Amino acid sequence: MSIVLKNVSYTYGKCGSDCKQALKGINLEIHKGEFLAIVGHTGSGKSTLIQLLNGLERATEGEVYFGGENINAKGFSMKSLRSKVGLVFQYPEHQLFEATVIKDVEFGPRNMGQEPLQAELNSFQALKDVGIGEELLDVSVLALSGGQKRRVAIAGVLAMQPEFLVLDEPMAGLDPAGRKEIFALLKKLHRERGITIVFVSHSMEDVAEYADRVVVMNQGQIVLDGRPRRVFHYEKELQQIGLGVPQATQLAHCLMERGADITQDCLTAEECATAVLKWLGTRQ
Amino acid sequence: MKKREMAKSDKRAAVVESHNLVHEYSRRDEEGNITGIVRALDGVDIQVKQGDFVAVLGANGSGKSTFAKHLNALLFPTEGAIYIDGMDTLEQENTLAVRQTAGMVFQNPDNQIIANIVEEDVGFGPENMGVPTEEILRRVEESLKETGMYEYRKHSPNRLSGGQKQRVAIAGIMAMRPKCIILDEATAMLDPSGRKSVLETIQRLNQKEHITIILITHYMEEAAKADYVYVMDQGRIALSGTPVEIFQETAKLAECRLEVPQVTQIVQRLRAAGVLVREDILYVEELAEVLVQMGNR
Amino acid sequence: MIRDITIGQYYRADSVIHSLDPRVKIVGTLLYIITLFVFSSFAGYAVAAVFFGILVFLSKVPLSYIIRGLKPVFFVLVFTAVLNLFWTPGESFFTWGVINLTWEGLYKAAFIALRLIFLVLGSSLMTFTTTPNQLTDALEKILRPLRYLHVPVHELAMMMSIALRFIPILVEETDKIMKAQAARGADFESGSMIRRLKSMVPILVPLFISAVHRANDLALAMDARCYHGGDGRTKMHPLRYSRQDFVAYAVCICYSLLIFVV
Repeated sequence: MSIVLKNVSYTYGKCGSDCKQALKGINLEIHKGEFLAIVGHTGSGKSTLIQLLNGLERATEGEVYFGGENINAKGFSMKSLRSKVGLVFQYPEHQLFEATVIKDVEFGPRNMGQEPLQAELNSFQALKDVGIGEELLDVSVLALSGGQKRRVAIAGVLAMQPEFLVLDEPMAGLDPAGRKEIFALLKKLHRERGITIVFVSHSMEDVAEYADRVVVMNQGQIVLDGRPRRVFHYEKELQQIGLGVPQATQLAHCLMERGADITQDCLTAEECATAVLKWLGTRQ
Repeated sequence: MKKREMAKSDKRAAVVESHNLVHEYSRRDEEGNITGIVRALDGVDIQVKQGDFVAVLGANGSGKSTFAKHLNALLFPTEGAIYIDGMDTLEQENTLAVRQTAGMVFQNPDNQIIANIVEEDVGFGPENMGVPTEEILRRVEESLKETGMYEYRKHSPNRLSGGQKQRVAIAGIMAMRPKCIILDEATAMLDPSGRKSVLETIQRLNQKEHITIILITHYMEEAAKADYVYVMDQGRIALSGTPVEIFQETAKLAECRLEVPQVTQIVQRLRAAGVLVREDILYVEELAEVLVQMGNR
Repeated sequence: MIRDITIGQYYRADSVIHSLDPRVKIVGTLLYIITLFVFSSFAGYAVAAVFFGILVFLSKVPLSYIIRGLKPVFFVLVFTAVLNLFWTPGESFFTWGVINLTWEGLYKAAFIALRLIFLVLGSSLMTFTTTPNQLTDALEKILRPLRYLHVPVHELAMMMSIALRFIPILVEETDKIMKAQAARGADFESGSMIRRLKSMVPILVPLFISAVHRANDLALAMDARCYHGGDGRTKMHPLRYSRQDFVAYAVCICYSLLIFVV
């Protein structure tokens, strides 16, 4: 089971007057079990790309396949696709609308045609997964803190029991500890529930720490795709398109340029410190 | 650093001064009965001198935004007092002067632009203050040039990026000729390039125009640019000092739900392993330079 | 869909019409609309067409752009024309079953349709050449005397201008919320009328909450920038008549007189 984009292009508006090509010639396969990060400058097409994955937007050219089936073919159930590929928008807490937490989370599973009892059970489980305690189930969503609201919103998508969870900047506006909590949650879902995670991020430090694959977008095209260590090797190229690399990687590159014998691309502070210590050790 | 040492001995006026500032609000249930009292600010003492660039760091819910709103007479102390350029915000006749002296840029770029054209929005403040037309036009032009938004003066704000909108908001404050600009998490909703452009703008205003800057944020990288940092937690000042001093307190920062930049983490790891690089290094290039020197010795 | 609607939008150009005082344009448009209801012959339309044609030429707004403004009112146009065509008594020229078409009906339908077209075209020329801000400013100034009747003219103008600013933002937001709920399996298009109305709740509630938040934020932002109502306020672009505005007034009056004569 994987999501495949074959030669996909997407154009806004009608061509001739004011059209804008948001995506051009995208080829991408997202495999089950990946922890994939999508990065790119604002307006690079990331948001459009993730909306193609669950059929919210339709490719103007090319095909999108889910589990080998063309999602735009006749008879393909868009509804079941939306439950299998769960999409969490930016600031998802802005979409909460029900009177209580549990009711809001049940909205998705009920739309998917789950029996009321089943929907409630799945919602209950999803809330447990995101760390919302039982005492909050019947509380008004308006009474929750910002971080709690965001987790409830993620639970609302999780309760549909997706195989793929796609998140647009899930950490936007959160403080460092809040970001860590969200990533801990994503890691847990990935490890324990086997859910494939796709997330959009501006933080290269987060990408380096959590993702096992990075797709870099620029002007509607994929320019780099690979393991973070490989992708962050291209610091100059990334800078040219308005992106950076983690500070640890940057430091290692800086040292290399100045003739230091560090061969490895470092991703985290720990790796970088170890590499520096090793190099200094050889000098003394 | 030098600037700060000067500040300790100099006689520059304090633009912002809070004494034991307390703010409480009551939490109500659905019927409107008071169910509890929340102490959002609990004895905050802060002093900011003319021309300083001060950062107030804090996690979500630490009280930093509540504090910001006191600086602009949008909220008032329950106990204690706050003075803006010597004016007590509790005195009602000071309100307009306080708001003109300490201008505020808010978090959401969309929700603070009032007019439909960039230049008219920048003129909104001076119009309210009753500034004569000729003077408004001059101020608007100057402010837009200072923030690098002059070429967009006839544009609709809707087509601008988040960073550009925030720079329009800053221009709108500058046109009011303030002594101090408060940025209340004004970079929280921006992408990295937007954040960078806003930071560069306020640094320039601080250095060239000597505008006092109070930057409220939870990004450590931004606080690193300030002369002095206050860290807030649960309505109190948990830490204060220069960025270098603050960044040494990794454990305490973690308690406040904050995190130091990777460079500082690397420096700390190296020092723990016995490589004694200077503690006050905040930037990658600087650290690389120091390490290469050590390696070549 | 929403992008197609050109009516009420500003078309940026550097022309005499654009540079006229907005008060002239509002008064002129009003006069023009009144005259449309005065004449009762096609000759009147000929004069109006010539006058309008000259204005369009001066305004530098492409004619096709102005005509596109008719799109959203097309349905109303056809509807009123058809109503008049079928339900006007008189000498019939075509009868088929219950359908009875009369010469008078045909005449009246054409007449009404033309009147509507001229009305929409005229007012859209005004909005194409005047920014929403100029419009609200002008209305504030024109309606100023009403202040003495305790009508909050300044506040109304401010509300209008803010509404104009936030409409595109809320439209975009509605789109985002709809997509987010669709991602949770919401279906806005199928089912009975009641079902469809019910399916709007997950859109309207978040939209309402967001609008309240925005209003609250905006109120704070306005406070922070020393807003305290219309008293003691100055203007960045105060409205001042220049010579061309008086000429324009004169032209408008001449045109109206001409129409009355015809």
